[in-house]
Amino acid sequence: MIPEKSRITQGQLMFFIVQSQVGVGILTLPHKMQESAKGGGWISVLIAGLAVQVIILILWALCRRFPSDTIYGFLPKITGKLLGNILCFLYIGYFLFSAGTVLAKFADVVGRWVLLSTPRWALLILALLTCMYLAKENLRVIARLFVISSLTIIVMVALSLCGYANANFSYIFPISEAGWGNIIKSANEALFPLVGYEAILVLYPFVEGKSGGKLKAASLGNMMITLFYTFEVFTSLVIFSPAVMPAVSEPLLYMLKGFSFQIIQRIDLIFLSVWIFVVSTAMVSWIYMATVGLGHFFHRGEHKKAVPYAICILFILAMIAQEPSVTDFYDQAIKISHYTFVVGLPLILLCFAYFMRKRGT
Amino acid sequence: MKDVLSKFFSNNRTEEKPQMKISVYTSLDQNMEYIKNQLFHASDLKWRSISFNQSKGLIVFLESLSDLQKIQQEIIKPLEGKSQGNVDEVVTSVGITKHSDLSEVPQALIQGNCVLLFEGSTEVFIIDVAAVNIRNISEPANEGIIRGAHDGFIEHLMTNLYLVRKRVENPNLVVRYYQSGKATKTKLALLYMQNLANPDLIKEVDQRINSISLDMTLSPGFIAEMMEDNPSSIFPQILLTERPDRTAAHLMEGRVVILADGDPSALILPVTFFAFYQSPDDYHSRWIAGSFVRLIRLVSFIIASLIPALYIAIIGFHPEILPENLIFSVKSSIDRVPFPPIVEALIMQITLEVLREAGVRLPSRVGQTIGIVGGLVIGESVVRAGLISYPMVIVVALTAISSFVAPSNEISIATRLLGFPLMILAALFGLIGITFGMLFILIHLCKLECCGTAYFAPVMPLRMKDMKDTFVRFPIWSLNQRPHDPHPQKYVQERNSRGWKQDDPGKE
Amino acid sequence: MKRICFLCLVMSLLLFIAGCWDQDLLKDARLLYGGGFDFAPKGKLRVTFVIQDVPAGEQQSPKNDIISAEGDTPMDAREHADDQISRHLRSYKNRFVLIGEELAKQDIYPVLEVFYRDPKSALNARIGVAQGTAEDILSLKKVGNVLIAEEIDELIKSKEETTTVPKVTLEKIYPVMLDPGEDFVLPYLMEQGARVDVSRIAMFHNNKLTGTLSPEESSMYLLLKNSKGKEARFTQNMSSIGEMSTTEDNPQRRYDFLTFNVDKLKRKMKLKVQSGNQITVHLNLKLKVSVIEYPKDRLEKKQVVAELNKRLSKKMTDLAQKTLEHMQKARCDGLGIGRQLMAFHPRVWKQQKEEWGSNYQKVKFAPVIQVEITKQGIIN
Repeated sequence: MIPEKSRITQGQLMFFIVQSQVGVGILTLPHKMQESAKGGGWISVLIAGLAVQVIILILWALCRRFPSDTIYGFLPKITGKLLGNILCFLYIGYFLFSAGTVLAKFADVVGRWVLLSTPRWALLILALLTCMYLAKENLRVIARLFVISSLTIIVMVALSLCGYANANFSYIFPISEAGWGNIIKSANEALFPLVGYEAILVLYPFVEGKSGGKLKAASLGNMMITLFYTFEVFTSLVIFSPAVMPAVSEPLLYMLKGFSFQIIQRIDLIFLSVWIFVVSTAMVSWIYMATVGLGHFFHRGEHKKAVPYAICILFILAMIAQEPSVTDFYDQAIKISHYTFVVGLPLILLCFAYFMRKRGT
Repeated sequence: MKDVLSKFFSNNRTEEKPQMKISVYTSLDQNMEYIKNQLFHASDLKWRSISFNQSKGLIVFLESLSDLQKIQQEIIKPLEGKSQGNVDEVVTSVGITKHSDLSEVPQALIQGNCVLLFEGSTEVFIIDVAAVNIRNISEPANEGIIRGAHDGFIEHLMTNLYLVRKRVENPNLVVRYYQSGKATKTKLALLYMQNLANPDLIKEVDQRINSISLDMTLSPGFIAEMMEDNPSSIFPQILLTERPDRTAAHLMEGRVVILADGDPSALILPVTFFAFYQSPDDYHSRWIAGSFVRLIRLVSFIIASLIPALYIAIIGFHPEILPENLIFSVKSSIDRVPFPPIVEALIMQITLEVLREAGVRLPSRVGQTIGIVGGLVIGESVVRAGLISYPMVIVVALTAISSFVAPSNEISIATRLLGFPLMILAALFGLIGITFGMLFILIHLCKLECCGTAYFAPVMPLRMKDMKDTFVRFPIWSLNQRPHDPHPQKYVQERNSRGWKQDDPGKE
Repeated sequence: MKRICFLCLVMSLLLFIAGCWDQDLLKDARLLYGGGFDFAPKGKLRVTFVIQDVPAGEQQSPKNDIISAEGDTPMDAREHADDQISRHLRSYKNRFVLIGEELAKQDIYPVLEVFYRDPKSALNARIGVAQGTAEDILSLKKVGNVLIAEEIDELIKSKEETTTVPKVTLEKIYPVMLDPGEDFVLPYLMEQGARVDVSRIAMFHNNKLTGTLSPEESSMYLLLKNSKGKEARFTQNMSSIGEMSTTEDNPQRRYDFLTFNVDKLKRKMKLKVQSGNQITVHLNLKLKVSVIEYPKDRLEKKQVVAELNKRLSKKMTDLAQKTLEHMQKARCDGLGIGRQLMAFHPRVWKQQKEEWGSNYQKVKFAPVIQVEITKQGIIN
């Protein structure tokens, strides 16, 4: 059922999860965390990471019942054909929408920091063509690239370490300034930059090995990313005084802007370039998830053919989201759909499958 | 004359048909007539009459292909001397075969055999007297090394096979002949280690060679292009080398080698990107030095493909990247240049390519002119005239030198070609464009496959064990496994060679 | 094949429409090397820019072009300046920003805001306060053989290394500027004859200039702040009679001075809040110093060294006391006491937040400085 060329190892699954999770959120997360949780923002991220771990457990439990089906395969099996297919389309929509949001935010940041007057469509085409080139490939090729592009995370950490030259650790104290309630509440906010782990819904059958190993890989990936995010949030918090944070929406870039090495200045441009790798891979991961579904329904399982259509949709989605009001709407929509499709529905489905004793072969 | 022409044309048409078997005529003249007609009365077709066993005979040969000395020594002299007996026994040649089919004779003649015919006999003797005119085994000019073996392949297949066989004295080394080129009948040899090379790989290669259907196989480039998985990629996927030691080393890693008669290059497949950056020198020098040199080579790949684009992006988009001491000196130099950086770069890069190509074509006596024209006129005057800035000249010079560092000519051109799209992207989007360009290249490298093995192998897919011999070269004793990319049958290639060290019973 | 053609087409199309939207050619730029901001009549702002030009050619030395303009805001004034020069004025290599004394007595944040908002601005530019007006200093054009812009930049840089002025860039003061619990200090540039002197620190409170420290105090402040540069030199009068006696009264005492360099600095700052919200700050500094010049005596005897240690400790403690007094008078919370309160005594901070300026003046400082001579050069 699963072609040999699409099989990936568990290590590759881990990096796939890693690359899907690190996206645009990394730049703005510290700003958001400080807004709601003040000095304790980094704790919120840790809590969010734990929450994600629980969700991964749910998703895994669900996938485990249908070891040879993607979500598009097992949804109709659980809920019946009609409802299942409708749900599948909703999931496809959710995946595409997530990719579109990532893309729109990417264009926003690049347009704000580097290419101030380059038209948005040119940037989008550049990004989308690159993504298309990768998304068309079979899973194995995508996973191989993801493994390598995870190196960029190390580069990002190394660059952030430069910032510690100006660090003032008293900025994060008192940790509970916003109150523990707020810290937990803002963990909710921290959940969205961490999305991407739902890749497991689609990838599960493609991974070699036993289900326990798959869970381990996904959890390890999530753990790495949670730690990475925590580190970045912490870094931003100790470098910018609480009064500055509201003014700076991309603290990580901002702190590198004034920093200079002997032969190169504007480290933020380097960071941004590295970040592009990460964003592109996250986008590819969403596109892949969506096109597997589209291919399942329209192209007899060949996701390759669905890619151009997905790209067109993404282009339109990202072109619409130019105004802040639309972007806010996107954010809200993502939040709601994230809870519905990644937390709510899988839980219901899991219970349903459990009580109905539905299992895949 | 007329019938010759008509025959020529008619034969042209009939050539496609399978050759009918024609038994040897009993009459010498008839046979001779047939042979002459088949070779269209070629002027280098010679014959000499001889008598043996009281019957009249003829020795027919093409003087251009046969070694006259051999004919005289091994055929005429014994036959004249004995004048009686069995021909097989009397003739002292190594290769002598009896045929009764006359249609095989012309083919045998053009392969450099001579034909012995006798009046009244229905059999002909085909005797191998091919002349061997080969050049000396010399070091390949474009793959020179400092230390190590200084021999190289030549245009003669047998010599090349000798060079490989001599290095790998192992019955497991299999040589398979193929013929490619419907008209030219070029001989190909496929070499592999029976106990190492992956059988699937051999099957795949065999299938690909057999499917080549060409009138003429001129260069191994033809074969390479027919066999590559992605012929439209900018990266070469089959390694061409003229070095027997390199060939032998790849054979021992379980790869497959194709040699062609008439060309000194061996095709090695499947290879990874990094194979193009390995040189036998790495293994002959000490491992630290070897690692350093190899790292430099790989860095030069990045420099050659990226530096012009980076220059354009920095001068055109993000001058603030330059530190203040540098920016003023750069600025003073580029202030007078009338072109945008992309045009500047394109002019210089194309000039460089033209110079390089001219350097290859020019006879060595005129070669100095290139130095003067290239170095003085283009390097110096172009800046003096204010057309190009100094930094641009430096960038182009760096690019050129870095790209020539690559031990393989194919990859060196590929690197420079790679620079052009990157330059365009840099001119459009600055650093962001370069990043996307690099991502694109990375995806492309990740996608490429060569006979079922990943092109960018130890990196994508990641395999730490093979990294030992990728970016750097670890000491030989730590490379105890073959690289995994060609999926060899046996991985272990080294077993505790430095065992003597542990055995030392700690005296003193 | 079709795909390749298509790709080529797209590529060439892109190349042709390459408006290169964001292209900002280096050769079309006039590079700003430094700028000064002053008050102008009618509430306007007067900016003075130093533009560095390097003529082409090998032996040409750079030239400075000084240009002034007025406007309502820094950016407005800059636009006016741009009107007067060819090509585009670009500030991404700006090395320093000078603020005139009068202007600095107002809130300086609005003046600097544009630097923080522009993605291309040079955040690593140094910043300083000019005695009188910045324009006057920049109008010197040349100091000795060095162009004024380079001179100022290099001078501040070298003074940072000798622990005379703090290492301050636009980026570094940004978090401090907006933080209510900490104040920043800037180098204070004075015009002396045809030269520029950088040895003092200008103190700020709430982003307004409130006073300056003397050169010795400036170095002491930096020690207290635990931000020693490469070297930190002090010269102290060692006469035992006390500070009243000057060299004129007693010619033998003429050379009774000791110059030393601080090699190692260990600082401990402890903040104690006692009942009644009395804040006491204990500052313990341990200095390991090397003697650089001491013409009067030799240092072979241990007693002498011990005596010197004791006396130096006393002198330095006094100096610290004086420095802190001056700072408190200027309300400049340069040590970030408010920040400490905020982080570790949030309740106290909440009470004192409103009137931190005057509350800061009530903070008790207890500096203790221990000096230990560890090196004496190559003679005793």
